[in-house]
Amino acid sequence: MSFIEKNLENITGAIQNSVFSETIAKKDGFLQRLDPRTKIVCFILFLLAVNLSVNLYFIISVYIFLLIFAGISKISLKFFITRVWLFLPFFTGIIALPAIFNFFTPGKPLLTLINNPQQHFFIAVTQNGLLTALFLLTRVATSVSLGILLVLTTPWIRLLKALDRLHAPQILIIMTMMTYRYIFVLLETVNSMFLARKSRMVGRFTQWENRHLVSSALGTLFGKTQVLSEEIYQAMLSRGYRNKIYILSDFSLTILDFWSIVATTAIIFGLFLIWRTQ
Amino acid sequence: MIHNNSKINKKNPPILEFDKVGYKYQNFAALSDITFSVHEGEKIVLLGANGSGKSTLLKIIDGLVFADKGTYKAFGEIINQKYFDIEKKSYDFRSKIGFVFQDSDVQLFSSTVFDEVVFAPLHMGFDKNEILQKTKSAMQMMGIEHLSKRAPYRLSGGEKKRVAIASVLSYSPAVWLFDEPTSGLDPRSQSRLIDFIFELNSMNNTVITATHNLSIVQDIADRVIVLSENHKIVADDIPEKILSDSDLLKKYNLIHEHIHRHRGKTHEHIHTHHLIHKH
Repeated sequence: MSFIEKNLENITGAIQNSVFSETIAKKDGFLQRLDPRTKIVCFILFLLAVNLSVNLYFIISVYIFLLIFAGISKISLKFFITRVWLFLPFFTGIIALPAIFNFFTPGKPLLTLINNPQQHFFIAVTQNGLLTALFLLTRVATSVSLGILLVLTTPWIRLLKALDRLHAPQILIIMTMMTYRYIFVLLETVNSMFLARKSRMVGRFTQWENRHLVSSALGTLFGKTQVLSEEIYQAMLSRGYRNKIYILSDFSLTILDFWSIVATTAIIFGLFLIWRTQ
Repeated sequence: MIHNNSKINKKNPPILEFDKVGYKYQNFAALSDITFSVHEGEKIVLLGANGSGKSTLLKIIDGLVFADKGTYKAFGEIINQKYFDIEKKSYDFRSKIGFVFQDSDVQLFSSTVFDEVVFAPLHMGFDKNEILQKTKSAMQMMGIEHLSKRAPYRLSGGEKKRVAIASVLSYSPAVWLFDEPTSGLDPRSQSRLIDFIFELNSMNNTVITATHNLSIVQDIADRVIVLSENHKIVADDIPEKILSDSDLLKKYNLIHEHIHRHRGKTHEHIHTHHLIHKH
């Protein structure tokens, strides 16, 4: 199996498992029982608090609360933590790395890497630098965890409907809905195209031939996508669409939703009061 | 040939009228010199080989594409791009004509079956109670209530077709357009669909079906319009006459010569499926 085919198969499988199966969203946990609109409001409050705070302990405390929420929502903590921290060093870590050195963030040196006293030159990891990097990492990790928690505990379609009810831009919602609906159809088309090619292949292809086949497959897929989008638009027109989409939602707020917003506000203010002197 | 069906009341004016309609798709003719009319309650099959323009003709009927030449009138009004600028007229037209596309994946663009069926009544401005009642009754009629929360992509071909039909049934149009309705369906689903089309017509709905599947023509039509590969109407008559005219069917690529071995002898005959019948 070629590199491309293997990747395509893996991507299809990953999308099917993570987006379409919604196994965690179907569990009977705490966050799953909340109205999606409540969850969005609570998570935005947490997000604002985390990103406006200048206190590291405050951010770490919010992260601990998120771990508790994940636990009571029947999400495996190992899965939840690794999902965030496995990729964080590759993205945010690279951005944060230069900040730990004295030439970006001066301060008390903790570890001197190069020292040349004659030329008054040294490279060291500073306390302030480490603190700045730690700030960035914890802030990003907590924000990403909030997003993941929201997506894992809410079926996609309910999440999009909730965003619509909260007046998020409609073009964003329609585009996400359509992507969600057709990504699998298109992935299956790509898989079939490669399978059809494989059934007619004899021997090994050179790299140039492989590149040529991939680029022509991309062109074909683009053409198919255009035809598909045109027909979908016609199907929408046929059933009354006039450039404005209406979404019927069956949301209902319960007392649990009310208390969740109260609790979120209380947690944020409580943590702020606890850590304000630090 | 001249269409002559005594069952249809022709005292009333036709609901759809085509007068010398032509349509080009990127400089290639898709339809040429199309003239015919449709009366309320007719059950018509548009018969033609692949690429003869059947689907384009259905799209013109549904006001999805517009004629380059000639005029198309529906319910007494000329249908063109301008017609749809008026919101009330647009809703009125859309609520009268329903289109079941050949590829159900095209038609089922919503994320769940419920959202799919509710789409049309929701976008045609019905009030909430009516929307829910129409959606429920369409889902019940097609037996898909249990699929309500399922994603359309996870359904079988037959289930997808039933959802596609329910998505049109939810606003009860008077004119139904089916594009190759039996393609990709198993025999049981095909048979259910034919029964449904028959039932629709018995309630005085007008049904126009584009197909090249001769085996279903007699069941779903009391009039057949044949399109040639030159995108013109070449015949318009009752199914019995069209289906028994093997020269016509052969000429317009609807049947073909078939050679096979049978009881030890090789022989040649015309290959067609329309003679298969049930009792």
